[in-house]
Amino acid sequence: MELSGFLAAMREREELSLRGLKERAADLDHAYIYRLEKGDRTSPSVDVRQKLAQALRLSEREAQVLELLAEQSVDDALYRLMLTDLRTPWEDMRDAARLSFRGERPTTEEAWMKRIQMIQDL
Amino acid sequence: MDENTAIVRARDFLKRHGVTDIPIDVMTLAAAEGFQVLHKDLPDGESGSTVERRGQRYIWINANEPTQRQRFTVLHEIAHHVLKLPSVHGQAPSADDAQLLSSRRRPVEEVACDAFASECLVPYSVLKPCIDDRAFTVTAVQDLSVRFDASQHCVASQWIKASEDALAFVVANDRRIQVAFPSRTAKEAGLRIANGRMLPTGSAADQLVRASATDGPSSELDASEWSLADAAAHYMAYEEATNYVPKQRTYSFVTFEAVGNAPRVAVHAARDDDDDLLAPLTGELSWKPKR
Repeated sequence: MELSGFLAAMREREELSLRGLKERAADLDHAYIYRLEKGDRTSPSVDVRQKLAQALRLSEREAQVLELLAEQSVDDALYRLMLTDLRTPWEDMRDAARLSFRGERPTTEEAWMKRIQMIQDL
Repeated sequence: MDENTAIVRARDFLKRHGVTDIPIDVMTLAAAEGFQVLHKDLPDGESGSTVERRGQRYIWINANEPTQRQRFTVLHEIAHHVLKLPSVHGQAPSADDAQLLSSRRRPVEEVACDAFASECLVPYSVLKPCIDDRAFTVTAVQDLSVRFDASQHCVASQWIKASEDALAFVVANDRRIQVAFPSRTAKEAGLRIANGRMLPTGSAADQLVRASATDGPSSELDASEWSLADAAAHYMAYEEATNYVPKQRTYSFVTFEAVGNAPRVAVHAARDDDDDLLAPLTGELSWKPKR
């Protein structure tokens, strides 16, 4: 999952147009939001991220995901876990997302959960 | 970052840590760089990974893989840190991408980290005196593989980089050439071997696969059986090979020898992406290899 896809998905969930989102986040240019959703712009500032989180009415976990996606992309299966498994501490999810691999890497939620368990055992 | 820069950084890295003996002590190097190495039961195909947890860096190594590959993986992971080349996060490559990435079209970060790891495991300054005046054969590669505690693939690749002879190291899967590494002299002579072609019929590697044998006789073929380049008409190709039977993966160690009046090699005539090799070194050892 990339930041662009995440923003588009959250806006769709809120049933908002770009202009509608702009109305919720008054200072933000809707053209800039459009470029973020298209992936033409990445790494928005802390201020922009906070405004987007507020305007998109993100939960605490979703806001954490937004922060992470502003730094790097995340495997789709791990992304789904991040949003559905709220019992696993965010720190563990974040550390899993930052794992680097040589060779194959986990691609299923089950495989990621094993990896998170290994992280928790450290 | 290109491969040459990574190799130079590897040499600096060894010097900085005062490494003087082979086989290189990868665990000590990892510890010196602040990594804790843990051997784990990881899935097939995953050689290792790196994780940072509360300020401590860990390298997980797949304990099921051969130890020489484990050593390479530790150095590859250290390379990401030393070269400041983060791994690409996110989605795993699709099957099609994986096919591409298995050849030379791997991410540049990974190629650079492999070059760093290879140079650390089989340093040029130690290897060069070992291969001068020595034939590129199965026995020689196996011998050096033991001395450096590095895979035959790693030793052969480094040999190709260091040699001044017309050589090629060819990796094939089920008789189809996956990747061929020509030496600089072979490239300059125009002796290129195309990836994706079938091994020449009658080559040592071809015979091994057909017989499901691990090793066997050498082969001597016209170089044109290996290379479609015009220059191949002026060379013979002497080859020895090994075969990893479970996967029908062969390694061919090919030496090209000029026949009659082979055209004089036009130094630096042809260039490609692999040509930016390091400036020649003195070959003098900065330390004594352990015997």
